[in-house]
Amino acid sequence: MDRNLFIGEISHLQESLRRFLLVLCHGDRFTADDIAQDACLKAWISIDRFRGESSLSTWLFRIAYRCWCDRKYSGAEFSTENSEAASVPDSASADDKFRHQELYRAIGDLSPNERASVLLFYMEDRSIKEISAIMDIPEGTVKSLLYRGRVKLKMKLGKE
Amino acid sequence: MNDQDIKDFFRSSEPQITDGNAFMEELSSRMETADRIRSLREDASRRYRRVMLRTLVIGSLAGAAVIMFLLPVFPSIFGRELTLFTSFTDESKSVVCAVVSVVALVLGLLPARKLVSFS
Repeated sequence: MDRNLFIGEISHLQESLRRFLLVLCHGDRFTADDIAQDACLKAWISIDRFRGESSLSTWLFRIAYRCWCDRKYSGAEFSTENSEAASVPDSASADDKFRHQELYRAIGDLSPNERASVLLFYMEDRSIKEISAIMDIPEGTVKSLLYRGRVKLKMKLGKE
Repeated sequence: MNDQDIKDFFRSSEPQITDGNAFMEELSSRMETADRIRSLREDASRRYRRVMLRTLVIGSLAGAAVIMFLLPVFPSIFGRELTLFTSFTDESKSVVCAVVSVVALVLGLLPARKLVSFS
C-alpha cells in the first residue's frame, strides 16, 4: 500500500478511531489524539505485515487498543481537564446534555475491557467477531463483557 | 432499554472531536519523519553489510596468509625439527610476512570500527 492510499484510508477512519479513544480516555482529547497518532504511525511502519486477513479498520483499531492498553497499564493517568472535548454541541437542549453526561459517567464506571467492548459494539457498530479480533480475546469473553457492561449501563441509566 | 435503545443513545450523544485536517497534517509530517529515519537506517544497514563482507574477505585472506607464513615456524616454536617448508623459506622471512599479514588484518577491520563509531 503506498503512502497516499494509506493517508486516504486513514482520513476516512480517523474520526471513528479518535471518537472511540476519546471516550476510552475519559474525554482527555490530547491523550486520545496522541494515542491515535501513535497507532496510525505504527500501522504505517508495519504496513508490510498487514496481510488483509481483517479489514484495515479492524487492524488499525487493534493497534490503537493495544497502544491504549500500554499507556493505561504503564500507569499513565488520563486528564479530565480537557473533557470538554467530549461535550455535546452548544445547540443541544438541556435534556440532551443531561442524558449525554449520564451516559458518559455510566461508561466511565465500567471496567476498561467492558468499556472498550461496549463502545465498539454500541458506538462503533462492530460485530462480536471484529471486537474479538480488536481486543485479541475469544468471542465468548466478548459476549460476557458485553453482557456485564450492558447490565451495568442499564442499571445506571435506568436508575437516573 | 434494549440494545437498539443503547445504540440510539450513543448515536444521539456522540462526543465532539477536534478538526480532522489538523490531525491528518500532523500524521503526515510524522510519517515523513518516520520514512526519512527508515531510509537512513536502510542505508546504514546496507553499508554495514558491505563493510562486513569486505572485512570478512580481507580478514579471511589475511588470516590464511598468517597461517601459511607461520606454518614453517610452528615446529621450531614447539621445539621440533623443521620438516615441510624449510626448503621454501627461512624463519625470519616468515615472521616478517606474519607481521605484514597482521597489519593487513587490522587495516581491513578499520572501516568496521569507523562505521560503529558513526552509528
